[in-house]
Amino acid sequence: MRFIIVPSRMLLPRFEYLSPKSLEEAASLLHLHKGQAKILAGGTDLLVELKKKAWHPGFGATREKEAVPLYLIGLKGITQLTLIEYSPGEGLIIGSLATYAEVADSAAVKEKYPLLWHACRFFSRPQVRYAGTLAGNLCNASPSADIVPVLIALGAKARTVSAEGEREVPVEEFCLGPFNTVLRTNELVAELRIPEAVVPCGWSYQRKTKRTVEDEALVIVAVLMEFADSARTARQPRIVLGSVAPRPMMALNAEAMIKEKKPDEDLIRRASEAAAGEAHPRSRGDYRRMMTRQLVAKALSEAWASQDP
Amino acid sequence: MLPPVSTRRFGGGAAFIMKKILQLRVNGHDHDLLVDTHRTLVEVLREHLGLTGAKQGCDLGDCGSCTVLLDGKPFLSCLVLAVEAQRKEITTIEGLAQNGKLDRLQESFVRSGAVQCGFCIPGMILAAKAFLNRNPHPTEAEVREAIGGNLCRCTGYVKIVEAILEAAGT
Repeated sequence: MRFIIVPSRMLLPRFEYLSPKSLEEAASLLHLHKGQAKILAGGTDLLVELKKKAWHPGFGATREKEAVPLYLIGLKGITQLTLIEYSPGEGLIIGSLATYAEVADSAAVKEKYPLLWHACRFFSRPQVRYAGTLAGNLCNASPSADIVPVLIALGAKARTVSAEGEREVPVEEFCLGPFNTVLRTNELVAELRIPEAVVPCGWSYQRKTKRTVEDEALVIVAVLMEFADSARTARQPRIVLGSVAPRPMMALNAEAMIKEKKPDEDLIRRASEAAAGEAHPRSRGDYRRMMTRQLVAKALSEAWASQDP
Repeated sequence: MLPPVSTRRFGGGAAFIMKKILQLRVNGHDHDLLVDTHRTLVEVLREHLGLTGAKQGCDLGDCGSCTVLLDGKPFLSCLVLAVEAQRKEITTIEGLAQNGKLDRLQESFVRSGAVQCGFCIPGMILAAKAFLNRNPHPTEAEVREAIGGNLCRCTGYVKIVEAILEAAGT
């Protein structure tokens, strides 16, 4: 039996705090200190992780894999990163410092991207919504990341920047596994780019938690489908699952089953069974597969019943 | 482009001497403080300024007892670096009462019997205050969602919710 002494305070480890005023300066500092620096956006994941590691190196999500950084590069001085901008015909840009509260306060997001709006509006708890960033949720790459399945359903891409150049990575390729991403040690995410909204569309966002809504999710389902006609034929349906695999995943078999199909109860039942079969959770497998089936069925029903915008 | 190197490492460890001069505006007053870069806002409020209303319950961003307002919005001060709280209006529970008169929310908490041990209350009231400023006539469900980030181990939340609804006047 392992006894854990619970401290009365969780102190951060010592680090040097750097405050670049531009994206170029941030990339340059990250390059200079690569491997020994971490990017600080909202801090709701990073500071928790550092507090746990400072208490005991074996604690925290990444365990001993990553050492405590010597430098934290705070992005809050870079105003361009707070951008939330929708351009008709082009889509939505969400800067890496944009918080869930700011996205939820955007009228353009609420009108054009209701799935994204809903996921941000009800993300975690109020205090976390004001501090946390969508890019941070992606970069933390928890298997149960709440926003990543939504970003995948929307076809989002992450534009990353480094002293050596920049690239765009589709979000579905960004996370490699638990707390592991394609980001190199000298790279940071500048913004998320979401294509032009498809209308009319149906959507649904489902989470199963252990106790209360603000808990970590055991199962996440994000569904988005464009309606090809008034019969609501599903064009390019997206069924994205979270917390039931090492990284958020598209339920490709289930998607293929409902592609170009009209709403149908039996089809929903079979597609949700297919999705449950594609899930491969690390723990509580039977329960999570069962809840995947339930929540995919619920999400498909809701999406197909969505009001026209 | 390179930052001034002002750290010294002793022996093999990362023992930095890295203090910054911070200016924090708390409850309408400006303070100049010499603070280590790794200090959180809750530590600085409590230990440098003696404002012990904000609590370190879990100190990990789960309980909400460290909640303070930054520019009127609720934040977990245990997850805010003190250096990043500059150029913001910080409001703690000590700053709610004006000229010795309790805020409407504070009065309704007392009247409603919403306070037992009191530990969660500063964070709870500040979260409620920020919420009512945005949503002055909420439903009970909206109130419950608004205090979802503030845990109370004593009361079961019933009288807390009543107090907030009463302060809202609905």
